[in-house]
Amino acid sequence: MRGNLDYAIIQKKVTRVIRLSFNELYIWKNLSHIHMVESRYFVTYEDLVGYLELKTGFAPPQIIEGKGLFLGKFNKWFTNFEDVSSENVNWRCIFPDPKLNISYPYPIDEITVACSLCSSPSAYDQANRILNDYHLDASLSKRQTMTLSGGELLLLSFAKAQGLKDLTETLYVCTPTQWLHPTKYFLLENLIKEYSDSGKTVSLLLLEGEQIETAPDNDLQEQEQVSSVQVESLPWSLYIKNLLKIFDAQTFPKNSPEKIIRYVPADFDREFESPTLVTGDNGVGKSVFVKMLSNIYQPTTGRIAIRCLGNEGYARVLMQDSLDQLFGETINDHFTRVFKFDKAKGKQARELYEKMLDELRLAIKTDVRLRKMKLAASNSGTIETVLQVKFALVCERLASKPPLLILDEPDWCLSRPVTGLFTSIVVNAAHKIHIPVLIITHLRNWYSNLYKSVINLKIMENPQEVHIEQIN
Amino acid sequence: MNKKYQLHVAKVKPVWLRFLILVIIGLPPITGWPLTLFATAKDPLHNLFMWLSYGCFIWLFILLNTGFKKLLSYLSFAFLLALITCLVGAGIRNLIGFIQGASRQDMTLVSIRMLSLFICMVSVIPYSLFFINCFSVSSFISRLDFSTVKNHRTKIHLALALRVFQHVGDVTISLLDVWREENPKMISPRFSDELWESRLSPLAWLNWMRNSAVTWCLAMIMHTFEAIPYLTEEMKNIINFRENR
Repeated sequence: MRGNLDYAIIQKKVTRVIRLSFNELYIWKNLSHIHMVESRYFVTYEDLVGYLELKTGFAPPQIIEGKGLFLGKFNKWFTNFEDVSSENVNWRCIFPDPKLNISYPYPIDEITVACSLCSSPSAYDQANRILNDYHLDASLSKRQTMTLSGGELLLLSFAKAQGLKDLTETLYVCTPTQWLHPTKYFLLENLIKEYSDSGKTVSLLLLEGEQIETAPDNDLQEQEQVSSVQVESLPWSLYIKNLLKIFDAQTFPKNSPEKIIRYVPADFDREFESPTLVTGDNGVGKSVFVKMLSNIYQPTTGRIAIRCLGNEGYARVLMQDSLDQLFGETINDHFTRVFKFDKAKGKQARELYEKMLDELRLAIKTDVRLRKMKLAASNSGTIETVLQVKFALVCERLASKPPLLILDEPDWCLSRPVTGLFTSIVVNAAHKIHIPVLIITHLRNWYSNLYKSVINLKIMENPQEVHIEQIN
Repeated sequence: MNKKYQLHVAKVKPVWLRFLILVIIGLPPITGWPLTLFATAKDPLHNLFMWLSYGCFIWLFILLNTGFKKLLSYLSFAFLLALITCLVGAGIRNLIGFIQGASRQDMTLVSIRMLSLFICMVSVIPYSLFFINCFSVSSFISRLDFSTVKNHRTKIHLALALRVFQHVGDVTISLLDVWREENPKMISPRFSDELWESRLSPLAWLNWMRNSAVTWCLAMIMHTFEAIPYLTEEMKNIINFRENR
C-alpha cells in the first residue's frame, strides 16, 4: 500500500529473516546490502537506549534516573565535554523523544542553520523546500517549535536530518511509527532513500511490533498472541457545543500566524463504549482536543462535557511524553509530594500501583516470551522503567476519580506486547472503579483486541475545521 | 498594538549595538546606577516608588517591542515567581520575627524589603526574557567560522549558553501544562483533603508553596540541562565536518 513505509519492496529483496529470540532482536539481513538500511527490533525502550549508547558512545543523563543520578551524571558529563573537537562524531540520531532532536526555537531556523552549515548557497530557500517536502508548510515553519505536536516535531526531525545529510555518515532513527500517522510513513522512506542514495548508512531502531503496519502477516499473527487481560466495556458520553480554540498570532521574536481550530459538528452529543480510540493525522488537533477535555487549555468559545455513570467533570490525562509528568522525581518521591495532604488517596494509589505491578509479574510468569524482558526495576534501589513510570502516573490519576482517563499515545517507548499488557491492565483497573478510558494513537492495530469504539478527527476542506466522527 | 508605535530593537544591526542598547537599559538592576543617585536612606517608600517607575518604563519598553500578549506572558511568569518568592519569604521572616519578638518597625522594614524585591523581580524577569530573545542563536551559529581554532571554545560556549537560556522559556511552558494537569488550581494541590483541616493550614499551605517552588526549580534545571548534551553532540558533528573539509 502506497503511503506506508515501502517495506513491501524491501521485503521482496530480503532473503531471510533471522529470528534470534523474541526478547532479542530481528535482523532483516539484506537491508544493509540493498538500501544501506539496518533494522533492529527491541522489546523494551531501555534495551533500545542501551544499544544506541553502545553504538554511538553517547550516554546523556536521563530524566527518568531521578534528580540525584541525573545531576551527578550531568556534572560528570559537563566536566568532560570541554575538548569539543576530540571526538569524531559523524552520526546523527532521531531520538525517541522528538523534542530532543530540536535545537532552535523555530523550524525555519533549524533547517536554515543545517543548510548553511552544509554551505548551501541559498540556505533559506533550500530550508523552505525541505520543510515543504516534509509537509511542514509556511504557517508551521514560523511557529515556535514548542507549539508543534509530537508528530510535527518528528517530521521536523526528518527535515533536519535531511538538511544535515552532508555532515552525517550514519543516521539512527528510533521508534518513528509511534509519533507518525501511517499516511506519513513515506516521508521516512524518502529520508532513508536520500541517505542510501548518498552511500550513507541508516539504522532503524524499532520497538517490537512497529513492523506490524508494514511487515508480513505471519508476524502479525504471532504478535496477536501476546498475553493481555480481558476487559469489559463501559459506556460514557461526550457532549461538545460550538467548540473553538484560537492560538494567538505572535509578533516577537518572529511573526507567526494565528491558529484556529474549530471542531465540527457544532453540536456533538454521543455515547461511546470504553476503551475508546482517538485517531487522526499528525497536527489535526488531537492533543489540543485532549488538553481541552482535561482543562489544561480552556476553549476560546464553546463547551465540553464528559459523563460516565453520573460522574462529571474534567478528564485526567497521561501525556504523550509522560516522563515529563514526574517533574524529575522518582515514583516514590512523586507519590509523597502529590499525596502529602491526602494520605488516604495516596495509600489507594500506592496499593493500586503495587496491584498493577503484581498483575504485570503474573503475566511475565505465565508468558514465556515476556520473561526475559526487563519490564520493572527489581528493587527500589534501581532505576525505574518507562513502564513503571506510566503505571504510577495512571494510579495517581485514577485516585482522583475523574469521569474519563485519557492515555495520549500510551505506546510511546513501549513495544507492542508491552503496550498490550499495559493498556489492558490499566483499562481493567479503571473500569473496576467506573472510569472509562480514551486512548489516542496512530497504531490502531496495536489495540485491535482492546478497543470498543473509535473517534476519528480529520481536517475538512476548510483547514481550520476539524471534523469529529464516531466510527463503529 | 498600533504598528506605528512599534519598536524593533531585536532588528538593530550590528549586533553589538543592539547588545549595548539593551545593556544600557538594563543597567539599574545590575549596577543600581543611575537610580542610586536618586535613592535616599531615610525614606524607603521613595526608593520603592523609584523602582516602581523604572519597572513601568521597562514594561513600556517591552510592550512597544513585543506587543501586549507577549508582555503579558512574560509578566505572568515573572509574577508567579515573584509571588512565590516574596510571599514565602515574607511569611517565614515574619514568623521568625514574631518568635524572636521583633518590633513593629522591624516587621514593617521586612515587608518593605519584600515589596522592593517583588518590584525588582517583576521588572527584571520580563526584561531578561526579552533581552535573551532579542538574539538568535541560529544566526549566530550559522555565522560561526569553525575552520579556525582561535576562540573556538569561547564561541561554542557562548552559543550553548544563549540557547540554554532561551530553552528555559520552552521548558517552563511545557512544565506549566504538566503542573496544570496535576494541580488545576495552580497554587493549591489537587489532593488537599487534609490541607484545610487545622488552624495551622496557612502554614502548611506556605510549606506546600515552598516545596512546589523547589520542585519547579529542580524540574526546570533538569529539563533545561537535559537538552545540553544533545546540542553539544550536534556542535561536535558540525566541528568535525568543518575540520575535515
